[in-house]
Order: sequence, then structure tokens, then C-alpha cells
Amino acid sequence: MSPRHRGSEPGARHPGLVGAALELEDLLDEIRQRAAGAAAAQERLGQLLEAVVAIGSDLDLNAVLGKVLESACVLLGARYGALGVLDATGDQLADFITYGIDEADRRAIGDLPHGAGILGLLIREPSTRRMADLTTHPDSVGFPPNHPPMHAFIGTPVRVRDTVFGNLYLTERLDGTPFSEQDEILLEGLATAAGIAIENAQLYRRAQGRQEWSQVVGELTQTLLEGRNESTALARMVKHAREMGGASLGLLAVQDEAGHLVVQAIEGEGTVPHAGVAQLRSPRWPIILHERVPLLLLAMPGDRHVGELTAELAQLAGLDEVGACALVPITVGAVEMGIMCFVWATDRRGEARDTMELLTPFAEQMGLAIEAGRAQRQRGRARLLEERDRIARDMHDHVIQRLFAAGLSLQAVARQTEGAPRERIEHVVDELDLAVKDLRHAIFELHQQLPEGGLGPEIEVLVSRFAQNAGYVPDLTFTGQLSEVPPELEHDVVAVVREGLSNIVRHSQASDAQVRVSTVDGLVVTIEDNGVGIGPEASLRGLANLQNRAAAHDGAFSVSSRIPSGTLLRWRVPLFTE
Amino acid sequence: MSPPFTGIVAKDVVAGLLGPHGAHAVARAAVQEAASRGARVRFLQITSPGARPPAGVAPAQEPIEAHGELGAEPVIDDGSATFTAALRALREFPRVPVTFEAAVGEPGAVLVEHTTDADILVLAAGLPEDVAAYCRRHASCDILTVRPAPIARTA
Repeated sequence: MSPRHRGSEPGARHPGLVGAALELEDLLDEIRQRAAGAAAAQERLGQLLEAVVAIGSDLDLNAVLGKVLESACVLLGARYGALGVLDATGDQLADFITYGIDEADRRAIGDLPHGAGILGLLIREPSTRRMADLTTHPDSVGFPPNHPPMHAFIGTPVRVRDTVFGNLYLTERLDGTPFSEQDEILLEGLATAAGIAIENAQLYRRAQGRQEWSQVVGELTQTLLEGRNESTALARMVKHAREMGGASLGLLAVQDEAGHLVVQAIEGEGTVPHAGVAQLRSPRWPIILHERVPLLLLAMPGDRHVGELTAELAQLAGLDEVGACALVPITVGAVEMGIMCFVWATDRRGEARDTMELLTPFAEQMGLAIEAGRAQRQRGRARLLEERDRIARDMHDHVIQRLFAAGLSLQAVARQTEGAPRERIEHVVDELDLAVKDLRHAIFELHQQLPEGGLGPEIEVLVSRFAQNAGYVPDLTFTGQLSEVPPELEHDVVAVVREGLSNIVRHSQASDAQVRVSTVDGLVVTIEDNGVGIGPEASLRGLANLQNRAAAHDGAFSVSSRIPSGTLLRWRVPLFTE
Repeated sequence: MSPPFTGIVAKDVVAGLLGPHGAHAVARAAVQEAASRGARVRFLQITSPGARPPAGVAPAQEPIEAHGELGAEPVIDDGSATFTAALRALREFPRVPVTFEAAVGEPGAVLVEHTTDADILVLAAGLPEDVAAYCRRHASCDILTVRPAPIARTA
């Protein structure tokens, strides 16, 4: 109805009709308002659904949290927003993500809130709160300097299943009005969807973590079955586990023959002391190992004590604070091998519990892998001994007997001769006696010594020494058969590995390294690190020795920088078959 | 950002260990309680100041206060019996977070002092009545008393 029509003449002539027209107009106005309200509600519902889809489309927890906050602010037209994530106690904020406040403002405001005032109110009483002016609320403690002024407030808890994950806080509507009841409903809806998305992200991360763990178990099992040094493999296992578990420190202590728990590997974020001489001294360590029970030691805010085991680890690694420790014994059959220890900082205690769940089966699987590796080596030794027995038997039963018989025959012939021929025959008989003695000695040696040397163990010793100096265990891979490496090249390979690792310690500032020896395409030694790389001004003088060793066998040697960082050393010589 | 959950959704369960007597039953009940509540267990080993220390160990001179286990030498046993009991209780629940504390003092007073922030205190039945009564009167948390299992069953 047009305004012109509404104020038309018939009304002026009939006053009764004027009242009726006005009532109709009010009614129509209300209908229009309701229709507009319904359209707005429809639009906001659409926006809510869009927001739900947006936050559900990501599986990265940080990204999900960011989207939840942004969606809430956009949906409710809020200028500022924050998502406070509760810590393990549920009483304080572990993290505080903001929206609408740039980095410069954040720096100007200073420390993030810890859960006092209105924020604390929601933490203590997790239910939706709506205020026209939060500064007038009795719980308000005011704002720090440089904080933007805020009045209109709405906050709601975000729950993951039955646990409060954190709280969503929005302030200052862009249109200057307070938050409405409809806003409250929308925010609660969004918070519910956010809880599901957060749980999904957490589950996804756990699933990914499990996949990574099983890959590492596979690799390490293969390493152990290849007959590699157990200590090196175990130290590598601790390194992988620390990285995947997000721990700040990983430590492996192996029980020596005297029963002492000697620290075999210790590595973590930043600088940690070198392993090799340290021991775990508390009398409780052997009890943990003997009882085969993993332990999760967890410190909480307000704790007045520091446990003996935690204190020892912190002292050993030079840590000021410890949030959580996971202590996992490693046993192989009836043998108590050692203990893995992982330490998390206070703000990463949450990861300790998740990792603990994976560490126990990890240690069990590694124990099995070690046992399988040992059994394989044992079988190999048994085969070798059998073969030696057979050779010794053959030599004793056949070769020595024949030589002995030949000697007796010659002695009989000698008795029938005189002069020079007799002397000559007796000399041969003496030689035969010596040969029989040598053979007997050789047979004795066959039963006494087992071959422990070889290129593989020699390189492993180098890697093990490097790990003690560097504070981390490099990855060592053998591809192809090391037995194909001719003896005259073994010395060169050892020299290349020694020089390469020595350079890493002296110059690279690396935190990880890989050593690969392959006989698949010639004899190739590759040594990589993630350090500072080799500068263009760097001379190859120190590496000339390796160049010469390659050239002596018609091979090639190169050293180059890796992208994004690190150095790659490659030494290759052809094998006989090429 | 790190996930906030350590899985702890309830206040601590304190296992009051006053020597090897009933340690297995107390530890087991405390761990079960913590696992069902989603709480942490604090194994609190208490030594009376008048207790005669083993040979070669100086008698306790410290006031009643919590301190690191490193300071807990002056005890009747070296704590390994109670520590072993705790470990055996944890065998079924390896994910339950724990701490090990030691304190020297009058057991009742130490237990009350160390349970101000706890939800529940687990004690062995058969403790001296003055300890149990003191805890009942003064502790701010619930008290669970467990009967020690026969030795043959726990051995």
C-alpha cells in the first residue's frame, strides 16, 4: 500500500474508517517487520550453516580454532573475539587466540589474560553469559593499559564431549547494539559445532600420529633385523619417539653388565649434555625396569614437590622446569634392557598423555624387534658354527689323516734310503708334521673365534662415537650387500664416513644427520646433515683426502649445500662388476 | 598451540602410604579411583619423626613439610616397598598420571596438610586410630579406607 493511498480522501470524510486504516497499517507494519525478521533470521541461519561447514572443513586443530573464532565474530557482527583454551587443570587459560586485535596491539597490551575477571567467571561457571556492558559487572577487574575499550559482551563455553575445552568470548557489536538473545542461540549453536570440529581435529591428529609411529616401528624393526647395532637402533628409536611425541627431551639408558643404567643417548630441543658417562642413579630406576611398568609423572600447578626421578632427569639434562615425564622400560624376553625417558615442558603436558598411550606398545614392539634381531643373529651364528664344525671335521677326519698317512709312508720309505734322499724325505715328513700342527691350530681357532668385525660394525662404531659427541644419533642405512665391498675399499669407506661425520661435528651446527652406504650402483657413501651448509668460500682442502681416495679408484667425490639447509657429501667408486 | 588436555578432569587422589603395611591395597584402590575419576594419583609416603631409621641413615630432623624424594632418606625402609606397590598397582592403568612424594612428620598432620587440594585420600584400614581420627576430623576431602589384602594374595 502506498503512502499516498493511505492518506487519501475517503478517510477524511469518514473518521471511523481512519481508525480502521491505522490499525490495518500497524498490522501490516508488524507483518513487514516479522517478515524482515524472518528473512534476517533465515539469513543468519544460512550464515551459521556456512560457518559450521567452514569450521568442519579443516582437520588441523589450530586452523579449526581460528575458523571457529572468525566465524563467530562474523556471524554475530562482533568487532573483537577471543578463544580461551583451558589448561589441564581447567582453572586457567593455556592459550588465548584473538580476533580483531592486530599484532602491534597485542604487544602493546602485554601479557595475555590468565583467566581473571569476566573470563574467569565463564571458567568457573561454564554457561553462556551476555552483558550490555561488561565493565559494570561485579566480576570485572578492568582492562590492562592499551587495551581497546569493550562494553557489549557475550561468551559461551566450547565443550568437547563432556569436558570444557575453552570459552568463546565476543565483544563490541559493529552496529553498537548489545548482543541479543538470538545472538546467544547462534553462538551456542556454533560452539556445539566447534566442539565436534575440535574433537575431529584431535582424532585426526591422533590417527596421523599412530600412522607415523607404526612407520617408525617398521623402519626400526627392519634395521634391527638387518643385524645392525642394537644400541644405535635404540638410540635412533628414542630420537624418533621424542620428535613424534613433541617432547623436549629424550633419553635412553641401557643396563650394563654391572647392572648400572648408563645413559646411551640423550637428545632434545636446544643443547643437552652428551651421553656416554652419565648414569641414572636413583634406586627407583631398577625397580621400574624390574617391574616393567611404564610411568607417567605429571606436575600440576601448585605442586610443592619435585619427585626424585623428575629431579634427576632435570638435573641430567639441565632443565629448569618439567611438566611431565614418561618413563618406559624396554625388556626383551626375560632380559631387562633399559629405560626410555621423555620429558615435556609444562605447557606441553597434554602431549605427554597422548604419547604415553603410544609409547608402551612402541616399547613392546621394539622389544620384540630386538628379540627377533637377536634370534636372527643367533641363527646366523649357529649356521656359521655348524659350517665351521663341518670344515673342522673334514680337515680332522680326512685332510689330517691323509697327511699323517702320507708322512708315515714317507718315513717307511726313508728307512730304506740313505744319504741325501733320506734327509730330503725326512725334511718333507717334518714339513708334513708342521702342516698337521697348523691345521690342528686352525681347527682350534675355528672353534674359538667368531667374526665380530667387518665394515658394517666398524661404521656403526663410528656412528655411535659421533652420537656421543654430537648429542644426537644419525640415521645409518646400508643398501645392498656390504660383503660386496672388496677389502681394499673397506678402509676408504671407513675413512670417508669418519671424515664426513667429523666435519659435521666441527662445522655444521646440525641437529640431525644421515649416513648411507650403498652397493647397488657402485659403492656410494652419502652423508647428509641439516646444518648451516657449505659456503661458497669454503675450501675443499680438508676434504682433499676424500677426493684423492675416490680418484685412486676411478671414482668421484662431491660436497654441496642442501636446500633449504645442510650439506650433502657424496663419495662414489665403481665396484669390480662395473 | 598444544592441546590442553592431560585427561585430568578431577582433583587429585592421594594414596597415604605409611610404610609397607597395606601399601598394595591402598595403591591399588587409589589408582582405580583415579582411573575412574580421570584424576592424578599422588603417592605420599610418610615417615614418623620418631621412627627408627635403618642402620647408617641419620634420623629425621626436618619439620613437617613436603619435599623432594631426594630428601626422603631418613625412613624406616628406603621406600622401595611402597614404590613397588605403587608400580604394581599401575600395571593395569599405565596411563594414570602420578607423582611420588615423601614427607616426614606426624602422619595425621602430614596427610591433612597434603590433601587440601585433593578430592579423596586413600588410607589403609588398621592404621593407629589417632591417625584415622585426625584425618576424619581435619581433612577437607573424602577419605577412603581400604582393608589390606591377605599377604598370600598380594605376594
